[in-house]
Amino acid sequence: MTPKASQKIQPVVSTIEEFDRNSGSLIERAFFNHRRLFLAVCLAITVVLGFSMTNLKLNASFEKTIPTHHPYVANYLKHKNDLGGLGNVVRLAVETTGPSIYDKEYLATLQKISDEIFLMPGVERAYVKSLWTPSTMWRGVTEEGFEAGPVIPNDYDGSSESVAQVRRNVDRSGELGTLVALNSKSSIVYVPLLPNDADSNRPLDYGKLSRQLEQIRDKYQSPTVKIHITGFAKVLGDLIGALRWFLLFFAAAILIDAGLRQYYIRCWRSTGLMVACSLIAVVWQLGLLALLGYELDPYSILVPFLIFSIGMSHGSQKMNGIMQDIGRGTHRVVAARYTFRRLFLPGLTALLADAVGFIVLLAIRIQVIQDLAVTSSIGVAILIFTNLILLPICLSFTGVNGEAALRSLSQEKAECTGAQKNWFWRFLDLFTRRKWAAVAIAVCAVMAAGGLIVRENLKIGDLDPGAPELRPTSRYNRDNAFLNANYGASSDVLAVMVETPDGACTKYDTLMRLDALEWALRQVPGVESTNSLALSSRQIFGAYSEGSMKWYDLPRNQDILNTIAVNGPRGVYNETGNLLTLYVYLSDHKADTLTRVVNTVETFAAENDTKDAKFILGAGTAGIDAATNIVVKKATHEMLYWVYGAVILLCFITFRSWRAVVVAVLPLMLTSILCEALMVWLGMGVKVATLPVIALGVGIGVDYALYIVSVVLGHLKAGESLSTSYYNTLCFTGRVVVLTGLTLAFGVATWAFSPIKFQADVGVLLVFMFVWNMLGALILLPALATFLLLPQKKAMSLAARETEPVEAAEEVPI
Amino acid sequence: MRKKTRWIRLAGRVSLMAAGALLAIGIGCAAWAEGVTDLPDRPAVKTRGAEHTTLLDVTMAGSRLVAVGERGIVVLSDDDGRSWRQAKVPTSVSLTSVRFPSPRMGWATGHGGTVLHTEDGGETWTRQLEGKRMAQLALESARAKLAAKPGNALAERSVANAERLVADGPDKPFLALEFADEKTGYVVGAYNLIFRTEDGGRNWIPWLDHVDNPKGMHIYAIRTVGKATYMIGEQGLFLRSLDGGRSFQRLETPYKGTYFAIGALPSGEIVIAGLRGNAYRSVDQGKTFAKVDVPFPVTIGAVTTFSDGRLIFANQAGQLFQSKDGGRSVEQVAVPPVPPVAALTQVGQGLLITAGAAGVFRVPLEKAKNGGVR
Repeated sequence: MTPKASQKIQPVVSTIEEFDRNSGSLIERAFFNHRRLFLAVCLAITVVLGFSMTNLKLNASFEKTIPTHHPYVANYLKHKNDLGGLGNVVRLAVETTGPSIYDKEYLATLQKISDEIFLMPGVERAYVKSLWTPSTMWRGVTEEGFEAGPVIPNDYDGSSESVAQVRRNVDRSGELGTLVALNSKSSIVYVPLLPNDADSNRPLDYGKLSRQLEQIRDKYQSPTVKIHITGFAKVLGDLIGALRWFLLFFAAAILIDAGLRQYYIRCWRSTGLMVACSLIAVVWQLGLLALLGYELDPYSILVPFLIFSIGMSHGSQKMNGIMQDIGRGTHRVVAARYTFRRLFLPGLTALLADAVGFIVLLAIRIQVIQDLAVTSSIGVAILIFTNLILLPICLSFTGVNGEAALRSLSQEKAECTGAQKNWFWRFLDLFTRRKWAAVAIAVCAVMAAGGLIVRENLKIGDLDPGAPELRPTSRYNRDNAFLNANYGASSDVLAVMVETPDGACTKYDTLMRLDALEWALRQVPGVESTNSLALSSRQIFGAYSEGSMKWYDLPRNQDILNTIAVNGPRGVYNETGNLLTLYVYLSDHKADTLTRVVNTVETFAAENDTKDAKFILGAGTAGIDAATNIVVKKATHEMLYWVYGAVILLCFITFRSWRAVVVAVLPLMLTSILCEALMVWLGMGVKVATLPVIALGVGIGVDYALYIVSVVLGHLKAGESLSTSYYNTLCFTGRVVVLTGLTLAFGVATWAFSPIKFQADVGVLLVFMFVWNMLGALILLPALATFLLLPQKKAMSLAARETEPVEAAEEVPI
Repeated sequence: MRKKTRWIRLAGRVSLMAAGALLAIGIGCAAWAEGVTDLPDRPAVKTRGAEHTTLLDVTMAGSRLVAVGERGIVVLSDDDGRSWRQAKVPTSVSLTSVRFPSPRMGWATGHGGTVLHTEDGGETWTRQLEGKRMAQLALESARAKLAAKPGNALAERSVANAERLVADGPDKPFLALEFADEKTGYVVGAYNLIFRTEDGGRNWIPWLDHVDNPKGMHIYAIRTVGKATYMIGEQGLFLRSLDGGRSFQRLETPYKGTYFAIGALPSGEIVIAGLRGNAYRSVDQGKTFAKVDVPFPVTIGAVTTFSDGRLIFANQAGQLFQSKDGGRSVEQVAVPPVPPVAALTQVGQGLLITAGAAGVFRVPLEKAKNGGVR
């Protein structure tokens, strides 16, 4: 389409009086003939939803990331109240830089920390444990039975003699390696938490708790004392803290996108309007979320960024059209209406294509992903109003900078008529020649093959140790590494449950099987230690025999087993005596480790389930991880089928040509493969956070292809050669394609700096997908077209007469 | 005729199907009921880091170290404890003690009345005795004795005891053993379990009624020193035989708590030690005892004598003590505590191997200077 052609349909109308107000579609007239009313309504909605937005809560709860339908999770939820050993615990390791903790100053500081933590709200005080709590005892066997006393003697006075006594008591307390590090350079304050704050009886505020712990750290940390804090509550606290960066990242994304736009368009008025309209979309979206009862979590917080970026890129389309119309001398209202006329339907189609990428995520039965699907679909629906309707109406009031408009028009004209050929477009056009196209396809084929090989190593699940939500170098993960190294206190726990008839959980046959499973699991690489009633029975049997270690075995005598159970540790069996729990502590939560453990248990259960004992999985962080991995692994394939199925269908409806579909979809597939290869290279696993990336990348990425292929097909139908068609396509739309790719990429790129690891991962991957999809559309697409579309030329031009005029496809927004 | 063949064919088919169904049910039942074998008959599982499981005894087989412990684990080291490998053992009960009268011939005791034997320096083990057979032997022997002396009260009590042993099933451990040579040895354990062999373990003779232990106290250690054989155990139990084991007499000791360990000096002096750090020495084969002052009141589980004459004690807090004067004075060894210790042995010149709650550890001991508190 040349400018002349479009002028025939949409003549230049330089004053508003000459324009026929009743021309255009019903929708157009409905909005444009009541511009002021529409603006007022939008303003009112913005105020209401903006107010509602202030009620939106930040939440870092991970309950939504759990696949609740999976049998493991169902088993866990069924027995949740009987799993005492999975308690919510914070550990503070107080480290000394001196020779050992047996030091007056150190013990005094530890006492202050221990006392202060004891008084913190939400702490289960009866079970707080440190060297200073009376529950920390040394024990000995006497002729009559047992003797015991507090590790820190009641008459402790800080003298060197009483400090030496503390050291001797620790030696015989059995706390070496658990409460006191084996190297005697640190000791633990063990802080179990209540689900509710005992004073206010409200659910525990993890953000507040985390801040209080940080205050204690600041207060007592000194050149001689270092404090390390770990625990699920601290992870949540740190995540909530990290969400505050959200505003900064968002501001940065706005500035970068606006700056980029301004650099290309050179019109502050329109740039400002575009930012405003995209922001209004975000306000509406957040306001609606609050109204619908959603909370912002570390996953859904990504959606406003996407919405803003998509809004900005769609704004570009509008702006381009209006700029050129105004440049030709059309009145601003008429220009806005023309643009609306041309772009509303194609814009709608493109936005719906984006929505496809979001909606397929509903197929994954993990709530946080389904939420992501719903919230982003809402966002896209809002964009239809704000960016397809509100933006042109606003532009019809403000108009654009005339100079910029002329500049835009003349640049395009110059490039298209060949007076001033753009070197970059000319370079891209090379790929429509058979030689260059063959080279490009060959290179891409090699990349795809390489990608497929690398992709074989793609792992499911989280790969980093510690709290994978946070960065490996984060304070939390360094603290966690310290505790792991000094106490072997793994944070990855998998709980195997054994269901038995009421009161029958101590039966010898059942415990013998549990004992066998426990030992089999200890042989599995990645299992660091275990705990169960079977193990406790072995230990306590010795204690009952005057502490003789020679009795360390599983007692066969049922009376002894029953007596031992009474003194067993908390959480290895339940009160009704119908559930045993085997805790398996893992070195990491990599999928391979979890699979090995889960398979061992499943195989054992298949051979050993009796009517008195049923071995089931799987609670604990690692149990949930294992279930999530299984669901994610299955979903990975499902999701790819869905998203590609949807995209192929969409392309086919648009192009009505299988060859065109192949041309459009192959570059997307290359990007998907390379994205997975990139994940392997960057050490990322497929997890709840990274799972949606490919769907989003493909859903949004197909826009480029839809756009370019439509226009190219249009030119081909008009009888032009592929090279001319492509070059002309680039002149009209190349700039916008590049701009759109960059806008989308920069919009999410700020996430790469997030302290939350999975947000950073998602940021990096999306940037890659957006940019690479753009390059694929500009390079691989014409190369493929060279071989696939040319022979169709005649048939196409025939078809052109029958089907729609090319107009609609001319400026399909992205 | 035709009819008949059809019937035969049908009958054949039915019986085949029935057999198939039975087989399927049988396999199904087996899979349902079997699963893992019970501990006594389950071969020891190949264990990661077997040398750091709970090990209860360690000894030398020639120049080889052999340690035994939980779940039938036996580990061997031919480089003074630097590296270990696991031996093949036919049971998964905890093994409590191990002795090698010669470099290749060795015996080990364990829970469930288990006695194991090796003829290749500990590489492979076979079972010589287990709980059920042990109880049966005791019962047969008691009945035979009662038959020889009908109406004898002592013999009647032995039969009653043996019947209870049979009824209880294999739930009692052997705790220690001693072999004077490749033929003659004793295994001793809980509730006065004592068996003797005179043919390298081919036959085990119940020895319960050769011992003056009417209350059936646990016997924790047995040791032959010169011509005397001593047994120690629960509640101050101290037994001595000076007639080659034909009879063991009970002797009084100053302490009424349990003894777990016995040590001997080349001179024939002995040291016994147990609960709360109580230890006593005797220069006259147990006729009189003198107190050994151990500085910390924690149960002593192991005593050994070094080649330089030093006595080494280890307690359950993992602390080590030494005495250079036969137990007259004791001091703590200046090394960091190891996990709770169950057994000790010397290897090479100054190297001590401890076995205990976290397996074997190598503790180099300084040529005794002044030791003292660390």
